[in-house]
Amino acid sequence: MIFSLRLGLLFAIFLCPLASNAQDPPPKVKKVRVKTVEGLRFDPVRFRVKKGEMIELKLENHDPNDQPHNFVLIKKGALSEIQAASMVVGPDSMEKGFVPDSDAILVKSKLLNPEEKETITFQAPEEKGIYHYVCTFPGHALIMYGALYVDESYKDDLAYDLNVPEFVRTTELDKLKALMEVERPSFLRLFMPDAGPAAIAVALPDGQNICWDAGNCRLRYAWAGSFVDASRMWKSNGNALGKLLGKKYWETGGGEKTFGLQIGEASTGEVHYRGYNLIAGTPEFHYEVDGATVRELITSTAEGLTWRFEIDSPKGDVRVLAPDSDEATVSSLVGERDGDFWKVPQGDASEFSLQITQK
Amino acid sequence: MIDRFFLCFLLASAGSALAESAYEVEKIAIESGLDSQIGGMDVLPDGRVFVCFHQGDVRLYDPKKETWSIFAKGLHEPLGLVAESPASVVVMQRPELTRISDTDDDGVADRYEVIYDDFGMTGNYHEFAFGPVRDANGDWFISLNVASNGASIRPEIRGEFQPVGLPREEFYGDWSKVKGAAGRMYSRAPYRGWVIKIDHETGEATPWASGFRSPNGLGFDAEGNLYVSDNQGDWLGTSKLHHVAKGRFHGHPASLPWTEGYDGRPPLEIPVEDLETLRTPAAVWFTQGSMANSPTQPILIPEGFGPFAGQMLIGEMNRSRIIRLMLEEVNGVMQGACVPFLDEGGLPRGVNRLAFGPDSSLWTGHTHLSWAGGEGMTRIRYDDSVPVKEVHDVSITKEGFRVSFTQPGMELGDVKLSAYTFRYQSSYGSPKVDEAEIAFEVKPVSDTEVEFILAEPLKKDFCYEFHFPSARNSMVCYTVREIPE
Repeated sequence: MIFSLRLGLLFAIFLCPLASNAQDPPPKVKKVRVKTVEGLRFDPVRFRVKKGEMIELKLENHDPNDQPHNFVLIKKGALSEIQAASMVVGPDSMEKGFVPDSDAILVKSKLLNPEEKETITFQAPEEKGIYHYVCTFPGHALIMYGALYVDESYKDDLAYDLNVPEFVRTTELDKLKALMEVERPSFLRLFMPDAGPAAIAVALPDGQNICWDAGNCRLRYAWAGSFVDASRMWKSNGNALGKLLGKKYWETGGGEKTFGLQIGEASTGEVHYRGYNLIAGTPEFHYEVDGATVRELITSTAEGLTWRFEIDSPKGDVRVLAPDSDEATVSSLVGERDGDFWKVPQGDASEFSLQITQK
Repeated sequence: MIDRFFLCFLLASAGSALAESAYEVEKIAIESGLDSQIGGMDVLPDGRVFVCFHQGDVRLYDPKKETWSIFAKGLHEPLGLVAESPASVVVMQRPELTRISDTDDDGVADRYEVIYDDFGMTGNYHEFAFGPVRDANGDWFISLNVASNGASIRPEIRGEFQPVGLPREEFYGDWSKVKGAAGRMYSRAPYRGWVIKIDHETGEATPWASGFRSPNGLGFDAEGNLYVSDNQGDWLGTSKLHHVAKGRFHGHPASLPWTEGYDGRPPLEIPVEDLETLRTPAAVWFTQGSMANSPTQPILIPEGFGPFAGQMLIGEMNRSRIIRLMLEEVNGVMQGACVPFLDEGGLPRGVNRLAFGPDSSLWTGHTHLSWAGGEGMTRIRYDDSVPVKEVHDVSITKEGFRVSFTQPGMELGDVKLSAYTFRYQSSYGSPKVDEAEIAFEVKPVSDTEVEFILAEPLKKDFCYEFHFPSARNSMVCYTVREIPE
């Protein structure tokens, strides 16, 4: 549906006249500027206020595509209802500025034509929480909304905030991916999800990425796509976890007491991490298991990963924690599957490779 | 009482001394696009500077060419660096002490070798790792920050969990309800709150001293005494410099359960009187709010950096300040005074790391990690044509203090002296306690030295704060642990 109407000042709709008490000093007003911009987007697409605070909101329509927009603040949890209601156009819709009749509407502005502005003053909700503001012009509300944080702090970066439209998250995530674009191969140590605190993230060629845990010396998982968003860690004191900028397709599972490599039947699983050498830029991890020195190198292929082990004088058969996943299978020219492990006979175990192949 | 005393030669007033500084601060340009928070730095004998950054790089700066090159990447919050050669550095990063070396001579590191990682991590953000420094034998010392109850622990940890006082499953419950029981700063993985010594030949690690909270700075004096700073907070009435020796407990109890043969008492339940008998008090207090809020790395001053060779400097995070230390041994105990050394003058805030170059210029690296601080890097040079008008040294006497000045004949002016102490308590920080002005007489000793004879006996565990109006940096604080016999 395309409206190219010049709606002008036909719809002068004001809401929330403020109760003011002449004896009180003028309340402190928080000034906010909200622009509607190209691509059916509010800018900012989220902002924070205190509960009950007076807000002076200056709405400016900067949409270059001749689209009218309004700002309608709605009750918590009412987004789907208002999105649906705004699609219904009745004979009096234009007269009402395309604001649906609903108890869920808390605050509404006029419908602004491009380059128009309006300042509305209202009191922020008394109940803390995350509210939505939407443009109710027919067709817009499905993607044109934002999040008003009332007495709440942002739990996450915009790229991961489920309270803002998906396309906004995607756009922000693309910016992060560009920001976090790395040479391949390269690596970064940081707190990673689903791993111990001494994790190493490795970006490999072919869009392959792995997380290797230097705490218990084992490969934790692999993902395809962009590398890691470390921006939240870098912005702060390092508390934030890295976020995978791609799809995890395989993991070994387990926890901090799970060990990745067992040598012989009497394996204790006791490991000592020794570090890594760079082989053409890719880390080859060095550690000791059950007294044997292990070198582990993970490189990429077009379909997944090659996972190579060198073990000095293995004293028995070697079992590598290497389960199949729904999206990848593990195989090798030597040995055989043994539950979640791949078992390699002692005779082949001084040097062998596994393949992790994405389905 | 003589409160105004003129030495033989009246020289320039304090006002003109302020006008020109003998220490010139030059900001060093850091490559654009890089977060310029600095965790560690060291200078090679040829003058090039290895620097490690918040985002995990080690870069090498060539001051002659004013160029940077990347030596290593991908480190986890590196907060200290020692350069062994142009091809090898040792870096303390969150998870380990690592030797990073270039084995194929292309100027880029290709080997990352663990020296020590046998300590615990819960994944709590406050578990920073500091150091390393090397003693005269070449052995390494590092320090491990305790966790903050600003956050809990992560699902997976490294090392043994310490259940004393609060079992692990509680850490995964409603954090707002259990954080108090965890302790404001807590040590749940091995050796958090400890200084560790690592033998450089065998790699054997020895838990060396405990009782630290946020020990962001280690350094040796000329005699090889190890000093470690700590930051005001719970159990620290104000920030401190500790003289560290094997087996000492320095006051923050969270780390105690990792002591060999520990009796199992939850640290928060140990009475303060018991802790008092265990702890070694600090060598120096940094008065919160006026001297330092977050002291960092102590470093020995070499010859060629003005009249203070043999003393130490220490950085301060919260201000644009470097502090000078004047330490002495009294009755076998190290104690002494501190004085602002550089304030402002182009120095950014967040002085985190200090390193002297072969030409005796001082390099500073700055950080904030989202606290008060700054970023970037400076080089500070001493200009011997500008007279330095400072208190040179302070030592305690039976009845007061002997104070020497860098210039003969400096006017003393209207010197003020007060004294106060700080509480040792579990709550955060301490106000100044029992603060009082102290009356004194001044007795000249030489044309550079005077003695302050106090009108009342010196008190142990008090900080004596002087203000010398004619010195470029007027505030001098002496922490009294021992009084000469």
